Amino acid sequence: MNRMSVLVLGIMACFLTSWVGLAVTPYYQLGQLLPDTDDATGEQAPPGFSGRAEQGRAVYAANGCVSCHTQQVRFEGVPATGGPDIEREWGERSTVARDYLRDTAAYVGSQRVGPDLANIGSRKSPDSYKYTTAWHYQHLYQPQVVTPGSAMPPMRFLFEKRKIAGQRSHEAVKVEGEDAKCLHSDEEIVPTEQARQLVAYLQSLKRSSYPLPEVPTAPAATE
Amino acid sequence: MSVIVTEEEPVSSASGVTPAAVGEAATLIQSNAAEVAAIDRSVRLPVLLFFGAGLIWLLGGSLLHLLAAIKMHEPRLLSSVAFLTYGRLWPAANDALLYGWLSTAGLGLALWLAARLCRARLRHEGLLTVAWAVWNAGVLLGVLGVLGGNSTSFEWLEFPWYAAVVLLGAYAFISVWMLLMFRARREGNTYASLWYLLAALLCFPWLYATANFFLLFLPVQASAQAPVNWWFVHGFYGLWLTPLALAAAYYLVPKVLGRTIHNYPLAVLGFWSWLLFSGWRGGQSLVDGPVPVWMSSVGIGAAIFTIIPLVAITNNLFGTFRGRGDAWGWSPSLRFTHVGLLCFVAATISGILLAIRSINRVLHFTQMEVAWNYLALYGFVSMILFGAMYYTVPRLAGWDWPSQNFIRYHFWLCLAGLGTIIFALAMAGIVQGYGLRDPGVPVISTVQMINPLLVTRTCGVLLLGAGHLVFAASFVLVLIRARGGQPVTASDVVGGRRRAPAVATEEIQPTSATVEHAVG
Ligand code: HEC
Repeated sequence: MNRMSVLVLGIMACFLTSWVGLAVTPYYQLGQLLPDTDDATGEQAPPGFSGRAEQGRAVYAANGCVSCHTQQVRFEGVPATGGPDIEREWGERSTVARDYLRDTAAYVGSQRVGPDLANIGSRKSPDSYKYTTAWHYQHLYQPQVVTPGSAMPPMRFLFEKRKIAGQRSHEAVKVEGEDAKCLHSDEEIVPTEQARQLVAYLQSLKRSSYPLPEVPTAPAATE
Repeated sequence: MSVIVTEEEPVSSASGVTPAAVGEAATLIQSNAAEVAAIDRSVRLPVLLFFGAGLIWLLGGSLLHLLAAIKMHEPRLLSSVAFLTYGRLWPAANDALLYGWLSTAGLGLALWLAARLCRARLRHEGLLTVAWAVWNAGVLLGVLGVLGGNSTSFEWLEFPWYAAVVLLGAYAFISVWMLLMFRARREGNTYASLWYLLAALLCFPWLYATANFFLLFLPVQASAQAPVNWWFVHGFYGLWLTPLALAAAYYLVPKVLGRTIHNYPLAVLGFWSWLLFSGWRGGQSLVDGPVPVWMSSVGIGAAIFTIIPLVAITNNLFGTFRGRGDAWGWSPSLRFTHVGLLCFVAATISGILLAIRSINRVLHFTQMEVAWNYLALYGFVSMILFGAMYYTVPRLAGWDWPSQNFIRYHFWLCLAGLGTIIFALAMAGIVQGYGLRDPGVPVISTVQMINPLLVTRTCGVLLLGAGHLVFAASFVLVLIRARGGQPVTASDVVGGRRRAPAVATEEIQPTSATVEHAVG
């Protein structure tokens, strides 16, 4: 191994294998997928994002929500159609590459300090207030009040405090607890444009609300 | 044969030994000592600059880490300050450490190793300081970009595209000097250390450019981004940071002990197999994820196969250490390197375990992965960088470390801090992992259960940070005391000890045995 040329070429060759395998192959195998068209209705899956939701994606990225939230649902078991993610109702099926087709960037994530958000837009709760736009605003503004003990940082900087001019804004955040005491009776908290975009993005995250041929739907969810 | 496997031009460790050597050997040693000193002198400015900047990033990054760690259990703290929100602090802290500390100090180390291994003097080192400035400006732009809300949110690639461009430009600039040194190489043999160094230097730009190209400059469809991102993360650790650290270990261990490396064929096997398998590990972070099954299976397979290089590398390096436990006492650089290598073993084994599907399903997405990062990036890479700096800085500055106690505090604070952090986060990971697997346990309960462990982690981060402060203080003291002094030759370093009495570093102990090896 005393020849520099052999050494350099060997290193390049080793590197090249994984470069081809894990950078170039995904480009061809996953980077050129097409949406699935429903023959009957002509609808395409996955659906696209609205312009506002797309701007919300940038807010999501800028504030590092991915440090605590994943956007991927995992199947396991034999056959692989169940598992804790499904039982938690984080999705009706596991996410596959095609589910990210319409994203500018996919934040699949690697930490689950909080729940998975792949399907936060279609999440249901017996409490009819939960997961509404107003709930999202309040949760982003004061997560510890909405979910006591939450580790989620309040995103105060996505909101504005302002004097109520005439009528209360219909978007005004429902502020409760300690935070309400700091608020004068003639003041209100309203979302900034960024908060609106972010919530629009969250509400359009419905990554398994449509079927794709390459992945079965969990039996529990279809019954 | 023994010459081939000697890690080093025979001499430098002989400075303390010269009187004992006789005749030809002595002459050879003296001329070599002068040569080594000249080589060191030529890289002195850039290497110390890279180390110094690295240390500033280490302190800055640790501060960001501390804030992020506190915010995990005190989320309401400073919550109206956008640039201090957890989701910006955490990636900024990680990137400050990855690019600012590990890579910057690593580049300094690479320059010094290249000069020593090629026995080449660095020329136009003044211009190189421009590259140094650009590199650090790139890191600064990146960290400020992330804090300012321009994070890309791709793991370990959070720096906005403009920072990546600056970093790539600076790297291209720096590699010109590396290339010149390799061209001017006056050493017939290549040593294990040099293989690793070359691997790191060749892989980094390719890796970083590809990842930025595919994810930021000309993004591929989002469905293909996850594999590229994880290929990069594992490559950054396995093909950039690890080879740098192993280059240092392969250089210093035999050198300071005055021995040859234990087993040459094993070193060859370890090198190639590490290089091959590391690149393929990306899929282990996407088990059951939105990628084709083969990707995660290959990733798991590659992770398991790293057992081969692990055995080869550690057998070699620990084999070289064998019977020289005394080095712990007199050589800070070996003490740090030894701990670093132990962490390498622990990180590789736990990395394999974490890849295995059934374990991955429980522990992936939990604090266990953060614990692993601390083990690998701090326990292994940082500790070896510290070890290398303990060796090089006195030789470059011409002045020894100011105090044996500082070194001791640094060492024990690092160990205590790291131990606390890794223990707390690993426990938290297990609690969280089993909690998340049980659909009856609400997510918020897992958060509440790990809360005390997160507080413990913050204490660990404080201890670790205190250790870094002590080290930075020693570094600054060396520079202050050395300032104004004449640049010194390698043998003067021993003289330096006379000037600043009762101090630390290596090369007191190696006795005539060293000379035997050296000339043999
Ligand atoms: C420090 C970690 C952390 C960060 C950063 C974080 N979150 Fe959370 N998030 C949590 C935790 C913990 C929960 C669960 C408790 C709760 O509901 O607050 C949660 C819950 C949520 C929920 C409700 C999920 C559900 O199923 O009920 C949404 C929506 C959410 N987060 C959105 C965001 C967005 C958007 C961001 C970025 C602006 C973000 N989170 C950043 C930790 C975090």
